[in-house]
Amino acid sequence: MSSAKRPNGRASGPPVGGARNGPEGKSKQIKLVLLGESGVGKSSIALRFVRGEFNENGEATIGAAYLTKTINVQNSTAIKFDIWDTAGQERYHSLAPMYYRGAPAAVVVYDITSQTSFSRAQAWVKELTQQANSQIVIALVGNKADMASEGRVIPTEDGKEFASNNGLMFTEVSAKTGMNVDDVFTNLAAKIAAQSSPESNSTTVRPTNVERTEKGGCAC
Amino acid sequence: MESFPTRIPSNKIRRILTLAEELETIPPHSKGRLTVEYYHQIKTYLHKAFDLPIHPLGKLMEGLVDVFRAAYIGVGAHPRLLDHAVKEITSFVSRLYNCVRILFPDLSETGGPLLIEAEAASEGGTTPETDDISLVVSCGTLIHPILLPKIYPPLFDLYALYNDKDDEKYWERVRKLNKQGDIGLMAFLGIDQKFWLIDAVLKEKSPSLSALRNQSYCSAIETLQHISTAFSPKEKLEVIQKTFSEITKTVEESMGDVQVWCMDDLFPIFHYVVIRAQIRHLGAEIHLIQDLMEPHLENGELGIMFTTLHACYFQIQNEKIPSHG
Repeated sequence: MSSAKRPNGRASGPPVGGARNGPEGKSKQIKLVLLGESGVGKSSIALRFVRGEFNENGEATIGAAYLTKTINVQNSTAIKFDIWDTAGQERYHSLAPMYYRGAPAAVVVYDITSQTSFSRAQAWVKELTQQANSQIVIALVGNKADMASEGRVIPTEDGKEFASNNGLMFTEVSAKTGMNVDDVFTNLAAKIAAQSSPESNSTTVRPTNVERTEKGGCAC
Repeated sequence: MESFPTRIPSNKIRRILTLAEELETIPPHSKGRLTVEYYHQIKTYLHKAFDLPIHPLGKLMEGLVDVFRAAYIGVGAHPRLLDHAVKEITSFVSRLYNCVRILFPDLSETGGPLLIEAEAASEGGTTPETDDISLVVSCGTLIHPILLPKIYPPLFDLYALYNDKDDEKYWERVRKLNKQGDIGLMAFLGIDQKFWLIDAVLKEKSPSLSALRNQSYCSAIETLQHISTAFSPKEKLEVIQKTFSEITKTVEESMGDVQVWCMDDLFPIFHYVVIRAQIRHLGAEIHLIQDLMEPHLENGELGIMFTTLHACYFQIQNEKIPSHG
């Protein structure tokens, strides 16, 4: 098995360090799904956020289709994002629910130089608010802000208005220059951390503690 | 040893004796900490113990397997019983784990995922030459590979029966789709032309484009077909993962560059591979994985890969095929 060089459970292994170096620090694992028409730069945004690079080499099996990054928000909560890319082609639209099922966060991306990408983003937002879990935090993101002067078709106000009417976070970004990309994710993380501060969310992953195992012994 | 009934073939006796001899070396009851080496030691020992009918664990296993087969073979092979069978397996798994944990208390208490490291890695210094510097272990990684192969045929029959209708529909579509040549199918699926990789294939083999058939992404297709020969959900997931890495390898070899995938590009290629792999009971495979995979894998890389396979299955069943084929 050639791909088994790295730890087998890289997928979602419990962070061993997390259990040790921060007994009172909370760690949350959040599945985040990227939705948007093909070609709007969903995965470029994620790549930019994860590595700070637009097109760096990937070592993971499926490149930027699945990425992870942990960030710290206030009150010492660590949020680990599992970022799921989706296929944006129209013909695959009906498959989206399989991907956003159980995701507490979604980033819906459109291209500010494309009207159709904005319409499709609106359709996704409607679908998410109707079908996904009611707690889902959605960020609407207008990508390719670096091309605003030459090719903008969707005014910032339109995005802003649609977002505020639907209770979404809104940012215009450029995956190419990196502008505002980190903000999208830090704001999402902050909102999720604030939203679920009472220990109730099912997405909390408790790393099994080594110390506890020792004490456990044979308690029968 | 003369007390063995004479009708047991001698090679079976020899096997039992070898196993019994090997089982005389028991891994330490506790080392205070679970390391990769210690875990492998335990796992190897348990595999043998559960396989030997005269060992208490082997006896336990034999009993469970007998009862399971008696319940779900023959009259019991009915789709309505699938739910019960799965519940029984889940219960077997957690109870077997509890027994095992009495023997080796360093295993995680709840059976939940635990990240362990190799001894050499934690001592600092040199990195070991082995593949596993660290490993995530759980109740499932330990027990599934021991239990599931023993009850796999009746269990899979139940899944096949349960998913019969969907699998029929899927199969009919798959056969229709496979009538197309490579280029036709890749075009239909909307694979970006740069991933058709026809130059490489043309240079080597086929004389004309339309005659091109079963030449593209062969290694990935062959890899995915192994999903049917893996018994545990984790092993099946690893087959899916390997399929993706074969796709990446094929593309990188042909284009001579590192490929950073996005799902827009990757999905149609994987879709193609799934269609060409022609796995007869794909719905049953997917259902089995879904039922038995451990929850901590769901949101990770294996999770999105599995979701993509599931999505392809759904798409194959539901997407209209152009009638000219």
